[in-house]
Amino acid sequence: MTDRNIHEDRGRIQVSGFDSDRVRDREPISDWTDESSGETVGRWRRGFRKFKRNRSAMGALVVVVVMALASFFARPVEMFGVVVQPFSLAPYDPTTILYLGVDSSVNVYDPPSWQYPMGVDGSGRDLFSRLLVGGRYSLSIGFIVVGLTASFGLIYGSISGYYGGNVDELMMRIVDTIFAFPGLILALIIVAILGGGYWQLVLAFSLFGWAGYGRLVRGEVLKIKENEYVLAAKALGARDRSVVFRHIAPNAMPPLIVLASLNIGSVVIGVAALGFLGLGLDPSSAEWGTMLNATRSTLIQGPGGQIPWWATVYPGAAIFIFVMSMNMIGDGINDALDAQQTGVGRGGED
Amino acid sequence: MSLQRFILKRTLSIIPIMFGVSVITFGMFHLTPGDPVTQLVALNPDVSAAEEAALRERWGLSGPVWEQYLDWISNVLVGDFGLELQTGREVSDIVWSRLPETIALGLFGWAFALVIAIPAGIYAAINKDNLGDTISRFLALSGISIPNFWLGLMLILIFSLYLGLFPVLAPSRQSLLSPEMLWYLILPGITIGTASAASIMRVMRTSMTEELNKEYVTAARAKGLPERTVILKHVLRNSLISVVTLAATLTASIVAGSVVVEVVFNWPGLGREFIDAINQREINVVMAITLFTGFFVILANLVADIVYAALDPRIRYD
Amino acid sequence: MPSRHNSSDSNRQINRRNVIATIGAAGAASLAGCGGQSGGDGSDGGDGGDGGDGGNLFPLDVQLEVNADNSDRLQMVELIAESMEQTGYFNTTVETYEWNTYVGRVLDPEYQNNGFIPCIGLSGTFNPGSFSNALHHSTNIGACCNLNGISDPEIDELMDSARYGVDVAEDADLRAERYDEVWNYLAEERYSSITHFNLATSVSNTDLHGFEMWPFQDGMYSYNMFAPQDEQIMWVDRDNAAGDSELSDLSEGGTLSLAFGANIESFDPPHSSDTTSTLAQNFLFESLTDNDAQGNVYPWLAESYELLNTSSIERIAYADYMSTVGTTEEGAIDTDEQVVMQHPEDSPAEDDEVRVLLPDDATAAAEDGTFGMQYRYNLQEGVEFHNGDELTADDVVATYEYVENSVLAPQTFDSLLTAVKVDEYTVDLYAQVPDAEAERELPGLLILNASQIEAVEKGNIDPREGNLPVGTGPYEFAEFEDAQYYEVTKFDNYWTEQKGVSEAFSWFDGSDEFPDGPVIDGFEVEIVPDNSTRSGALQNGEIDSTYGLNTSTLDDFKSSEEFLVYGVETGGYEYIQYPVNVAPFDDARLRQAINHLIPRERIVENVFSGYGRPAWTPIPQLAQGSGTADADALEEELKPMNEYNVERAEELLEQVAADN
Repeated sequence: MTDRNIHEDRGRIQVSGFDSDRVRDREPISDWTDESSGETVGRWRRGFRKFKRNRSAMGALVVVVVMALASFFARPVEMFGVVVQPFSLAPYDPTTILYLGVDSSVNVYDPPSWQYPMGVDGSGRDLFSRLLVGGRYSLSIGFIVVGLTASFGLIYGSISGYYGGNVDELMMRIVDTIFAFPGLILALIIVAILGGGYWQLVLAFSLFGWAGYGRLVRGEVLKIKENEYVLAAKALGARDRSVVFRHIAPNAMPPLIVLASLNIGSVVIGVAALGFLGLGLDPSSAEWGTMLNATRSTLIQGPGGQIPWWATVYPGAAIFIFVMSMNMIGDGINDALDAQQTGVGRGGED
Repeated sequence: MSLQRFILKRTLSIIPIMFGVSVITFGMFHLTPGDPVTQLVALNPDVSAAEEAALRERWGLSGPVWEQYLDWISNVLVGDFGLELQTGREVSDIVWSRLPETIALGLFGWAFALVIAIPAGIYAAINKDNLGDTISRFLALSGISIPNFWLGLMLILIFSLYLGLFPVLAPSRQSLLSPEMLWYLILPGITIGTASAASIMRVMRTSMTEELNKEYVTAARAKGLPERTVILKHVLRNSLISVVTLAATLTASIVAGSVVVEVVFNWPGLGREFIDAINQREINVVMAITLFTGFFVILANLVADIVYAALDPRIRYD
Repeated sequence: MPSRHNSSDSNRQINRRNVIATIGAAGAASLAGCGGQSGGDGSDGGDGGDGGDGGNLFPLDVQLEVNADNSDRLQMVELIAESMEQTGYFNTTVETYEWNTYVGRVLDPEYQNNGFIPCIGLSGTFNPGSFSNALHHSTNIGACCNLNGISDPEIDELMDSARYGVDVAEDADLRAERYDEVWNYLAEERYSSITHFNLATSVSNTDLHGFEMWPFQDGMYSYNMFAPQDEQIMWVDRDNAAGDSELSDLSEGGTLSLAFGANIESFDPPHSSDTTSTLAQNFLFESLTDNDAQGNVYPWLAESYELLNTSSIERIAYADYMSTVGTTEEGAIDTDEQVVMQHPEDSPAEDDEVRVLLPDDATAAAEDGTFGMQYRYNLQEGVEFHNGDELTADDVVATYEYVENSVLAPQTFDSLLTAVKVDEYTVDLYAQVPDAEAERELPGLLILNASQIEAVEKGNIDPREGNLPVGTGPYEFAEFEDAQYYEVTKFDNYWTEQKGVSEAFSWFDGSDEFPDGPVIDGFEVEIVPDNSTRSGALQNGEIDSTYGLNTSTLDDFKSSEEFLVYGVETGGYEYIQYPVNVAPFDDARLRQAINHLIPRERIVENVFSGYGRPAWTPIPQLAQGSGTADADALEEELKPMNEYNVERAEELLEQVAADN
C-alpha cells in the first residue's frame, strides 16, 4: 500500500512539512534548521537518544523484535538442504492435523488448553504453532516490500528532483498516475492476474508501492539541492551521481525512514486483507489474514452456539498488535528525527 | 495567476494523468502472458481456429497491442465497457447499478469520520498532553492500525448478533434515500470511516496545536475575545484547511476500503462486484471498475486542490 | 471473495450440464492460481524405510489437487493427504486452484498425463449411472468428469448394458443386478474413491409448517409448495409453532422470506444449470412429469403418458438418416445445428467429414419408425401460461427445439431423439435407443411458452434483458434486482386450482383436505452468498428459511426451540480419482491402498460435523431403488474394501514395493 500522506501535488498541495514554501514561511518547530543539516551525524545521534526516551516507541520496538524472533525460531529453517535454524518454538508443524496420529482425542475447534494454548483450528491444527509460523509470512513480506520500494523510491525521487525540468515533469506524472489508484486495488489486480503466492504478493505490493517514496524524496531533494554545500560540491565539479548519493540522498533519509516504518504496517494489513479476500496465499497456509478468512464463518454460530473466538481473535490481534507497534515506532522515529510525518492515511486501505 | 486560471490549468493537467490511468489499467491486463482467448483455447480443444479468431475479434483482442488499446479506449470514451463474458450483459449497466450503493456507503463513512474526528481533534489539541489527549491519541493510533475487515467482523458480532441492534443482511429492496437505510449504513459506515477518522483526528490535533501557538491567537486572546470564539472562529477555520488537503487521500482510502468492507457486510456495491468479477475472471468488469476508481480519485484530487486553493490565501498559483 | 464463493451452493458441485458454461468462463483472464503447500516435512518420509526395500518407489511423491474456494473440500483433501503422509510411504502436496481455473484444468484431456489426484464434487440423480458413468465412462474423458482418462472397455460395456437395451428397459431387476456388477468391478479396480454423500439441509423458523427436505436442492421449494404425489405442502403460520403440525392445521396466505446462497444467473431454463437458477425457475415453470421422493414418475402437465413402442436398435441404425458435415482443423464438427448423434464409426478428429444426425434427420427417422422408444404424452387441457396463452403441443415442441445448442443440450440429446406433435394436446417423445432411464429423463424439461420463445433471442429469457419469464407454474415473476432480491407472487389462474387437485391428477388418492394448489401468497428471496450471514439473518428474524448453512452450526439450530432443521441425503458426492495412466498408479493395489487410507468416518465427523454419510458403496440411498438388487448386501460386501485400514494399506504397499 502506498502511503499517501505526502500528498504533494506538484508542489502545491501538501501535508504540512513537505511544502517547501510553507516550511520556510512557518516558524521553526524544532531547533533543527536547514543550516544545521551539515551535521547529519549529530541529528541521528540526538534522534536516537530521543527515541530511547520514548517509552511507548521502545515498548513497541520490543514487541516487534519479539514477534520477529518468535516467528523465525518457530520452526527449523532449511536453506538448500542445510538446517540454518534448528530451534522450534512451535510445538507442532503448522500443517499437522492433531487428531490424525498425534492425539486422537482432539476435536476441531477445541478451546485453548495447557497443551494447545491458543486452541485448535477448524482443521484440527494447533493455532499457537500456526500463529507463530504465520508471522513469517506477514513480517517478511512487510520488510521485503518496504526495503524494495523504499530503495527504488529513493533512487527515483533523487533522480527526478535532482535533474528537474522535463525529466522531473515526466517522472512525477508517472507517480501521479500511480497515485490515482488505491494501492489495495492495484495489489488485488496483480494477484488476480499472477495468482496467489509469496513472491506474487511481494510483487503486488512492490510494483507500484514505491511511488510514495519517490514523491517524498523528490520533495526533499528539491529543498536540499539549493543548499550551499550542494551548490559548492557542484561548483567544485563533483559528478552528478556523487552529488546525489553523497549529499542529497542522506539528507532525505529521515523522512524516508519514518515513511518506511509506517509503511510496513500498511503492507502487513494489505497482505492480510488479500488473504482475507482469499486472494493471497494458499488457503491452508498459516498467514494471518488467510487464517481469519478460514474461520470467518465461525463468527456466526447457531442459536446458543459457542463461538470459537480463539480462531478469530488471535490472528486478528496478531495483525493489530504488529501494525500498531510499527505505527508507534514510526511515530517515535518521527518525533525523534523531527521528520514531521503526520502518519495520515496509513490504515492499509489506501 | 488568478484563481480561475489556476482552476483551468489544474483541470487540464488531469488529462495526461487520465491517459496514464487508462494505459496502466489496460496494460496490466493485456501485457501479461496469455490473453483470455489463449487460455480458453488451451482449456477447450474443441474451439476451432475460426472461432478463436471470432472470439478475439469480439473481445477486442486481435491486432497489435496499441491497436487493441485504441479500440478499447475509444469504446470506453463513449461509455461502452464491453460485455460481461458469462451473462452477456453490458458492463456499464452493472457499474451504474452498483455505484449508488457504494457512494452512499462512502459518503456515510466520510460523514462519520468528520463527525468523530473534528471534535476529537479539537479536544485533544486544547487538552494537549493530559489524559484525554493521550487516550484519544491512542484510539487514533488504534484506528489506523486495526484491519478494517477484522473491525467489521467484530462490529457485526457485537452489535448485530449479540445486541441485535442492526440488521445482518445488507439492504436489498430499501430505497437509498429511505430512513431505514440508516440502520443498514451505520456498521459498514463506521468500519469504512474509522481509519479516516483516525487520520483526520491526528492531523487536526497537529495543526490545531500549531495554530494555537501562533501570534494571532495570542493577540486575539489579548484582545479579550472569549476562548470559545478564538478557537471556533479562527483556529478551527485554519486547521480545517489542513483537513482539506487530506480529503483526496482519504477518498482514495475509502474507495479501497469499500472493497473489503462491502465483502464483509455483503454490501451490494461496486467493491463486492469487483471481487466477484476477479473471482469469476470477468475481465471487462474488473477493468471498468479499475478505470472508474482511477478517474474518481483523480477528480477527488482535483476538487480538493481547487477547494484548498480557494480557501488558503497563502497559496501561490505557480 | 472466498467466503462468498466457498458458500454458494453449499458444495460447489459440478452439475454435468454446467460444464460448458464453466469452461467458457475459465479462460476469461490471464491467471494462475496456486500456491504450493507442502503436506509435511519431507524428511519425515524415512519412517517408511521398509517400504524402500523394493526400489526407490517409496516414499512416493503425490500431488493432490482441489479447488480453493470450498473450504470443507479442501479440508477433506488435506486430511487425506495427511493420512497418506503419516504412513511414511508418501510425500504429499496439496495444490489449490480458483474454481474456474480448476474446472478448466481437470477437464483438459491432457490432465491425465500429469499423474495428479484431483478431487471434485458431483451431483447425481435417481439414475444409478450418475454415480458411475460420469467418473468412469471413456466418453466422459475431457468432459465431466472422467478426469484421469479412465478408458476400460469392460467397465464401459458393463455400464452401457445396465442402462441401454430392451432387456434392462423392461426388467428393473435385471438392471439392478447389472449395476451390482458395476459396483463390484469398480471396487476391485478402484479407479476413483467416492468419499461421502452429502446431506442437504434447510433451516427454518417455526413459522414455516409442513416442510420436508427434498434430495435435490434445486427442487426443494417447488416440491414443498405443492406436491400431491407425496401429499407435501408447506404453509406459513406465524401464530402457532411448527413441529408436528398436521394437514388440518393448514392456514392459507402469508409471504415467506427466504435467502438464496448465490445470485440467480439466469431465468432461461435451458441456458442455465446452476442450482440457484433452477431453484428460482422452479417457482415459475413446470414439466410434463414430476417425481416423488422415491424417484417414481407422475404425470403433471401431461395428463397421462404411455410407452407406445420399444424397438431393439443401436445407434448405427440411424446411419441412413444422417447428414454429412465437415470438420474443422481442430477436429470439431463444423455445423451450427444441434448434433443429436454422431455416427459411431466416424471421428471428427481424424476425418474431414463426419456423419451426424441433425434435428430434422432425427424427426424424419422417428416418423419412419426408426427409434428406440416412443413415449406419448397427453397434455392437460386448460393449462394457462402467465401471459394468458393456453398450453398446447406447440409449446412442448418449441421447448424441445429451444434446447438445441443450449447448456442442457448435451444431457438432453444423450437420450432424446426428437419431440413430435401429434395433435393439439398430444406430443410424442422419442428415445434414441431403448433406455432404462427414458421415462424419467425424456420429459424432464421445464415447459416454456411458444410465443415467448419466438419473441426472444436464445438465452435471453431474463428480466435483466427485459424479458420476464413466462411459465405455467403456480407463481409468477414479480421483481428481481440483480444479486439482491427476487420476488414471486401467486398466479391467480393456476391450473390445478382451477381444476381441483383430484380432477387434475387422476393418480391422486390423498386426503380431501389437501389443497388444490400452493397456499402461500408469495415468496421474497434475499440473495445472500455468505453462509454465516444467512445464518445470522435467520437468527435475527430477517428471513424465515434458508439452506446450506455451515454444518458446524446445525446442531445448535437443532437444539433450539425456535428453529427446525431438515435434512436428507442427496445425490451429491465427492471423489478423488487416481491417475491410472501414469505409473505407478496403473497398479490397482496402490489405488486400493490409498483408498484404505481415506478416513471416511473422520471426514464426515470432523469436516462435515456428521452431516453426511461415508460412501461405503458408490450409490446413495436415492439411487438404491434402481441401482442395486439389495443395498444392505452390497454394503456388507463393499464396506471392508472402503474402510480406513492402515495395516491393510501398508500390506498392499509392501506388495507394490516388492514388485518394483
